[in-house]
Amino acid sequence: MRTITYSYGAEFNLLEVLAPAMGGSIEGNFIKGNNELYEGTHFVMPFDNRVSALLVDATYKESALLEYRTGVDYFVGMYFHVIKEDINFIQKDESTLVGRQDYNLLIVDSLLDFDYVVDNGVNTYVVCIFIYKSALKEYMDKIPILKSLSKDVFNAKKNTIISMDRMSMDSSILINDFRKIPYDSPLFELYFKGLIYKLIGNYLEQLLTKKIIISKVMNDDVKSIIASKTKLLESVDGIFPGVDFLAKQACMSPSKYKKLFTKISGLSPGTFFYSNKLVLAKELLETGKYTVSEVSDKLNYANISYLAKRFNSKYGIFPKEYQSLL
Amino acid sequence: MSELIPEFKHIYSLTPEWRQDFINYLGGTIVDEKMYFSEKWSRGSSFFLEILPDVSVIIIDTIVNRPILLTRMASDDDFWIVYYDLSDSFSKHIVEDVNHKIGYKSKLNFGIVDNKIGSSYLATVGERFYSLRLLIRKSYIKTFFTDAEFEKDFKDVFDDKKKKMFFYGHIDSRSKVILHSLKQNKIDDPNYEFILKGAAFTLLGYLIERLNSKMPSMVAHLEKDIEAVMLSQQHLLSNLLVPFPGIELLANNANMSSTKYRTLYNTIFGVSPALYFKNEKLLLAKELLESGDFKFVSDVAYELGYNKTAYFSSIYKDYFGVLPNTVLKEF
Repeated sequence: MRTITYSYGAEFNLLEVLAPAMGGSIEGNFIKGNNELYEGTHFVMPFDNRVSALLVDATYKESALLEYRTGVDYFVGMYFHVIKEDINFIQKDESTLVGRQDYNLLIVDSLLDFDYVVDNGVNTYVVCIFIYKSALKEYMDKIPILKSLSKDVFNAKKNTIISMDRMSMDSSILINDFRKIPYDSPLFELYFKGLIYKLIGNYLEQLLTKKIIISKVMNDDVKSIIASKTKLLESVDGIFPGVDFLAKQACMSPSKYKKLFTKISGLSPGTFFYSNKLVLAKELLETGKYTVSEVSDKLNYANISYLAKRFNSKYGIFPKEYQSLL
Repeated sequence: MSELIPEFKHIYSLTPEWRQDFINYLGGTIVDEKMYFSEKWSRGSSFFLEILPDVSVIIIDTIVNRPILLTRMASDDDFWIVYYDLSDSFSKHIVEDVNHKIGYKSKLNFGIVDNKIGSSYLATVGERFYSLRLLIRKSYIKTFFTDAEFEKDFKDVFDDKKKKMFFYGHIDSRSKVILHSLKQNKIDDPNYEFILKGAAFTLLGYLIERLNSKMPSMVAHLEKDIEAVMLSQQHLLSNLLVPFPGIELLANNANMSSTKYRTLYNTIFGVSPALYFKNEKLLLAKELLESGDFKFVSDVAYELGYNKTAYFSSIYKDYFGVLPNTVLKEF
């Protein structure tokens, strides 16, 4: 297994650290590489002197241990993972799985060292946002319910920040939308900036509404909910199977299933299902290959007008209009 | 009508200074990026952010309490103003004395105007007015058009002596979705700054993509042609009570062939002259019905030059979703 160490931190000198570590070449803000270790692209974007962002899109050709070392204490990293397979996240000899069926949003203090173990052939797509603690504290102070917390949270002696979470559905939709933009687009930078701000905004909202809470240790119930959620997503073009059926599959009572599901995703199973259906409907319309009625048939809507009604209430525009104005 | 309505003249700038004029005239307070209006004129607030050195964004979300004509004076700052309008009802946007109704239900809710052309805004009293504006320095837009082809199409637009950017149309789908979700957020939310920045960058991206793909043909017209079309359009609007005069006459008035007239009209207004005329007529019909001056639907139909009441009723219902008779009864 290969070991790669990133020691970044001061001044967000990510380009200079990442390129030699991975053996890629720097092109503007991109690092592109295709060697025996990996094939992929990194994109680094400094925002102002307190916020910086990094996009990692790499497929590893051999198993690797990635060590993250910063040695400074003044920023927090938010890592949004979009990964099909699981990777191991190791912190203080404790290993946690990160991936589609596990945690996919990590928030880690720069003070903490951590490692990833990535297997051969795994594609990692990670959006990282680095924010100075001083900046984050300012924003949190504006939010009344978090204000009392922020004093302790940002006291390095009392607390180091580490949180494992699942990103909200909105965040994952945002990232998926963003992935459609090719790296060579002249507007890549603009869209990336847009994405980062929206992700921060979304996360703060998530904190505000506090709908999503997962205890630090993920128990089996939570895991089976997440698995059932993934299954639900795979059959999103069908008919909603009903909570009773889903609960049975996950070996829980319907009421427990519904409660846990809502806690984890912030939406009830039905709402989650139907919102994802609409996301798919929008994507199908964007391809330009289908008419509205074909989309409605494909996704098992009872009739077009119902699809149109739901679509309009979610996106503020009717599907036909959406397609014609694309 | 506009003589009686107080007029407030202002300018925009890429930096936040322009807001002071608003506060001086309309009252209210400025808190950081936010601006709260005083109850005297309107209830609501505004948000201003400089997202790039060359790009700023303004959100205005308010309910106007009494009619006011906002006139943006032409100024020498070299930028475009891009309007996105998601108001609940129509607002009148007046550029060089020609009315454009822009608003959620109308077709024209998107506009690009050069800062060097003045324009006025008349919002409807009592309804939610929601608008986002991007102010973009011209030199910045130029950086996205390096290809020889665009150089050819756009060169004149950036040369003030020849043409000025001026375009009305509809918001593209993707932007509308972004705006719709932005509209769900309140200006006072602590994370609003991020949400707005995210939306603004995305909108800017969509705008540039749109300029790249579709706009060149649109802006490659001579200003005098556009003026001629606008003039004939004004003529059309002032004669709403007679039947549609026909494209040939209009084209003749504007000194061009009917094909050219129709294409140009379509690119400027996004609809055909006949359809625009019909829609305006129906909007007028709504006003007439609500005015209480008419007892019967047939009177309104006759007033607007429709021979058959049934036909008038049916197109009215197609457009507004209610029969004119119902409207008449309500008032």
